[in-house]
Amino acid sequence: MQSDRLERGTVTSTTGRRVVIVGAGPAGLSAAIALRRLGVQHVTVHEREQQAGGIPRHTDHLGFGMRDLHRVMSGPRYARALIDRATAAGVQLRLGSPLFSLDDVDADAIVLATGARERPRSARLVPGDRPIGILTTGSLQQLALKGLPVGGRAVIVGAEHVSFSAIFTLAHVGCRTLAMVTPLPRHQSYAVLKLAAATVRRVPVLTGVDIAEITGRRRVESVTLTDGRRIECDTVVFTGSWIPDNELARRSGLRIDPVVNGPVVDDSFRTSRDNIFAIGNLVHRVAAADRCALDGRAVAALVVGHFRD
Amino acid sequence: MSASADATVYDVAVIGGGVVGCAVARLLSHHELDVVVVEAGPDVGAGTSKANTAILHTGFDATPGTLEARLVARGYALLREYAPTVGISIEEVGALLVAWDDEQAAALASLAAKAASNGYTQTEIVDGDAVYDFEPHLGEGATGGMLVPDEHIIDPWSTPLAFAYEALANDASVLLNRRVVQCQVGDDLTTLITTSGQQIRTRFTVNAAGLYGDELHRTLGLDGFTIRPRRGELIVFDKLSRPLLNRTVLPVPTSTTKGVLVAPTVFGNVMLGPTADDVDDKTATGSTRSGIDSLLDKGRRILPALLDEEVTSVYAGLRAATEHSDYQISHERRLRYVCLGGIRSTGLTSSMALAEEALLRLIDCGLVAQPKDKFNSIQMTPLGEIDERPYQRSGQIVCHCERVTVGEVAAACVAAVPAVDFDGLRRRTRALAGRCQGFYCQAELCSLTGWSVAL
Repeated sequence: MQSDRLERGTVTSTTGRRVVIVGAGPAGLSAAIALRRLGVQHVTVHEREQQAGGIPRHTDHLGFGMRDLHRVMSGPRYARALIDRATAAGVQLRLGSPLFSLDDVDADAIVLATGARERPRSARLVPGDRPIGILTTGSLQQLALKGLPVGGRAVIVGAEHVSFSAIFTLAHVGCRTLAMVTPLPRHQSYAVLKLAAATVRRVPVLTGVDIAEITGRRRVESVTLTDGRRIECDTVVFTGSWIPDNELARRSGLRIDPVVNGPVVDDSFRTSRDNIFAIGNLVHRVAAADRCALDGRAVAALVVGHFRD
Repeated sequence: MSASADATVYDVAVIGGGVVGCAVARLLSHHELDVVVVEAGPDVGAGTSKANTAILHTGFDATPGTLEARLVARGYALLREYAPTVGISIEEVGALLVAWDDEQAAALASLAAKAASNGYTQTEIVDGDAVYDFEPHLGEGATGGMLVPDEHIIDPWSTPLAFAYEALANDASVLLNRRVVQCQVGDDLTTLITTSGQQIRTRFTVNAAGLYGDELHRTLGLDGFTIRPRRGELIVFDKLSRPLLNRTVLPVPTSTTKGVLVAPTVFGNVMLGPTADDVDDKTATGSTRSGIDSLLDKGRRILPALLDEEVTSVYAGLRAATEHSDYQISHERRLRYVCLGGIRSTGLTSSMALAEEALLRLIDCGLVAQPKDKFNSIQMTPLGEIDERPYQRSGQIVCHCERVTVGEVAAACVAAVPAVDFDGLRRRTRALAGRCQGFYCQAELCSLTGWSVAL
């Protein structure tokens, strides 16, 4: 059982060691690859989805892999590259394998890399009707990847990095972006993307204003803004406002950072429970994929160092 | 479901496929009768029945002597017995009615007496310290409380579905997308005419049309009540908030409303609400800024830590309130017609008793209802957090927040009354009802069901 193995802590080599990683996104896969390369014998990644790769798997535009693989790749290619490396390194990838509890996990160390999701409309307390056509970037990207229609005229809520990603995806599926709306005084993304949004796609960015209400019987008919303006549209995409997928961390009794909502970690990614580590957007919320991957590499060395202590 | 052949003459047509209409159809289907449910929308249980506080009411706080008091008490007993046999989740949490000042504390004794005159004698008045023993996370200022140990919580969506499925399993019919706009009463037959001009012929008619019950009543030349929808907004919090609460926390009711409660749900969430706003539009099921803000204000005082948790969903429902304070139940022998009008939020609890009431009144109108020697029962997949769920045995999960399997989604799409949209799927399986609201699974669900988010 976990507690027996976790509390033993006397073996000094990586031989026979068992590390379980939860989540096969960039952080989890990178940790797994690095652990194997450092000689850890049993490295298992549990992924609840049927496919590994995490969010990059469905983020179909360039901008991935710069800091860890030193190449510029699309999200799906980046995910593929990490999966291939993990397989080559002898990582055991368990797909469709959700973990509901850490109690029965048989491991010398556990690395949580469950990532983050965007807050949906309801969590943002946006009033109004509940018609279909209300998405997040995550659901939009996956619909696009499957070639499924999303609507014709969209309003994007948020102006973070990922919000601009939503513009590209909408354009790709033939849905016009009528406006981006953000209560912040200016948008939060890179200048190049700002340029792309403003010039290439000609999307007005409405700052200092929020979405006040969604109207629509069966599908979205319009949104009303806090300044009273009304935009007729059939799709609303809520972007950004990331929240760690912290259920497993919380149910395992890990101390939680009240601001980030992820587990509290020290500078070695150690959580409040022995031999449980947390990396990636479970602790950062909104870091880029390659940064999460670097977390994975770093935690691998720390886990192995921890075995030697 | 049989097609609506013009030649068919039903013994009883139940207009309205909400929890009340489905309960009536279920009971009638146990008799040698041709029964049809005529529903305006594309699904059963999808009107006012779907937005509910999901409390299985003892009726302790009903006005003694009213129809509502009697039918809620009777319905409680019936539904509590029925639900476990078909897989409708009930969680026996009980309730604690909390007094937040001395005036409210002083009112507890009369509430206990009222409960007793409703036949409910299990209440227990406790002091402020005991309130915090029972519910340690409550906000400051509780001065006393009253335990209502049998006030439980129930799955409000599976209930009408179970009734409908069972009615269908016993040869009743369900006609969807047919709004009845006219009733022509002849000597032996009544012809119901729908918006599309379709005719449905029946000997007896039951009005279970919910928010539209008054309009239907008037098409028969009757009068007596007008429905003014009372909107109730509700906020459902993340399942991680469930440990904050052991039981339903009720306020001391006022003359106009039961007030804002905080309740666990059988699905493992915590619910805050409802508001109570009279509206004119029978389709005004949107939430409002002021409603949400007022609920958060109240929630912050009742259970402060709740406000630190993520909100999973916000929705609003309309109660079929009338100018009267009681249910509007009547029957007209000459019209072979029973009206179950003005059934408000307690209708979920009282539904099976309302069915009994409807049957008695139909018989008084001349219906001959011969009980069948045997009838078929049905089995739902329980959706409660404390129930065993399919994913625990086997199957690929598609909705991770609510742990719904691909098999459950497929089953919902071929159910006796199949899910025809994501809302119907949500009520049947919980898919899309969780914290991510489709961030992870919306696209996969589109693939599995063939439905689009673009219509």
